[in-house]
Amino acid sequence: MKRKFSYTILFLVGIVGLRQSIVVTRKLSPTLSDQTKMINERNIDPAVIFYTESNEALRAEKEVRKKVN
Amino acid sequence: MRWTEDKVAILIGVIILLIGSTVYLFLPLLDVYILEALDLVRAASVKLGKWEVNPLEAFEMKWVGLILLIIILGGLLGWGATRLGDSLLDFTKGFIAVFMLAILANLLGSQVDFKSIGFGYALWAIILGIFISNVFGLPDWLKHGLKHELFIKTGLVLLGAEVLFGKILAIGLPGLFVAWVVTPIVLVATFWFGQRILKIRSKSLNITISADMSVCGVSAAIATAAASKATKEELTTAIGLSMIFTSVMMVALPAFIKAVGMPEILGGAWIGGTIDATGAVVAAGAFLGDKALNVAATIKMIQNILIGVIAFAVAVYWTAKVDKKEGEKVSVSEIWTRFPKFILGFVGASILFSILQQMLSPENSEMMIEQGVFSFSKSMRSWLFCLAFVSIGLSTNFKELKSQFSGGKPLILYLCGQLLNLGLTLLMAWLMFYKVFPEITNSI
Repeated sequence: MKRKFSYTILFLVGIVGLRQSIVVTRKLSPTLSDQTKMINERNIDPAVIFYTESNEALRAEKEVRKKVN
Repeated sequence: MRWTEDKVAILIGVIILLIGSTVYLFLPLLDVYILEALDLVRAASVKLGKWEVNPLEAFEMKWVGLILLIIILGGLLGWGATRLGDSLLDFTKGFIAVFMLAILANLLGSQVDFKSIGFGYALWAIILGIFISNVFGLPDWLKHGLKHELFIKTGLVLLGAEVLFGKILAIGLPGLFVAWVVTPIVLVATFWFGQRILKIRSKSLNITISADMSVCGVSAAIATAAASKATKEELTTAIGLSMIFTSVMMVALPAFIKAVGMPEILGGAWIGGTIDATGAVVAAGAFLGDKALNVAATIKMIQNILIGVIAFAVAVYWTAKVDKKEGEKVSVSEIWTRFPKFILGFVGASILFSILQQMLSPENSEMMIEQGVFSFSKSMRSWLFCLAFVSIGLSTNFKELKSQFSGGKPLILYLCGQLLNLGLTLLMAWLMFYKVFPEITNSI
């Protein structure tokens, strides 16, 4: 029981730690910071796995198609 | 009629597509609008909102949708489970627990900092599942809800509908060359490298990693793993590799392109052809500029369409060659018996919706299919994949997963394949966009 409890605490600390490390890395890296700012401003979701889930991708395709044809 | 998992998956997929199509496509074409049905379908297409500090923000206005979703998915999958020999009560108990974990995985994937580096629900679902099963163990009642193959196959039938072949010439021939010529070459070369040079024992692990690296990340890994009957540990390995490298490349590749002063369109085409996931491609392309974003997202979209062909080809190759015993002659009827039938649902949905899209005007196609039917089917598909990843995590033994990485071969395979991908894609993009079709580049 004690072991399970320790693992759970460790897991939760790991999740919070991962989030904190992302925040700190962003502060240290101007590139990452600029990219995150742009992602937030344009409401981009970098986690989507297929083009139909991304409004930016669907808009981009239409714009390119209009310009090329 | 003898029900199999593939038949059940196809039927559930068809029912979900029919619900979406009736509300968004067939009735509007007849000028009939049932607002109550539209509201119900919209509410069930639930996606948790973004949150930074307070997780409850993600559930704002989503509670009704989540209840509807569990009723729809629980009902359909519960029916499927009974056809496959499970009791409805046993399945429902396990399914509710798996669904709760899927909500938790979606919640973590909606956190803005995790989202910003591309750590979405897929990764969290697997991590949560592995943690729970390996620390607490699994009670017997929960095991009845772990139907990852049924969830994946049903999700793939829905994904098939989103594979619209009318999109492949969106950017003309240069896009086709970058996405449809380089990608299969990289896929086959990486698979060959894994078999002949690295001597990876499992062919299904090799093809799943090769496909997720060369085609389009998680979605390609799911489709290829299902077509090649890869184990859950193999799929987990491929997805883990893809997500980690995608989050690194999403930052590193545009930074490199900027540093060397590469033209925007060339950079966009390079990003679109090499970064695994669509979301990360859009984020990386946008960092370079609007032209790069448009080219990158369009190339990635054309590459996304390729998974229909790849999944079908892998299923045929596996049935006719890999599953064959040495010296055995496999007849056409034997190939048909062994062939994973859900692939037919996947390909059939793709062909049907590609035809429908061509029949409608561009405005109607966008409104009724892309923003209509797909808004429902892609939400169902995302939840099905999330349920599948939770189930995979819950039934994955950590020691077995660790053994997949022995000798570091999957990592070497991914790295070498990606290096080839980077080189070939850049060469093809430069040739196509700047030497062979410069007029297309100028028009963008």
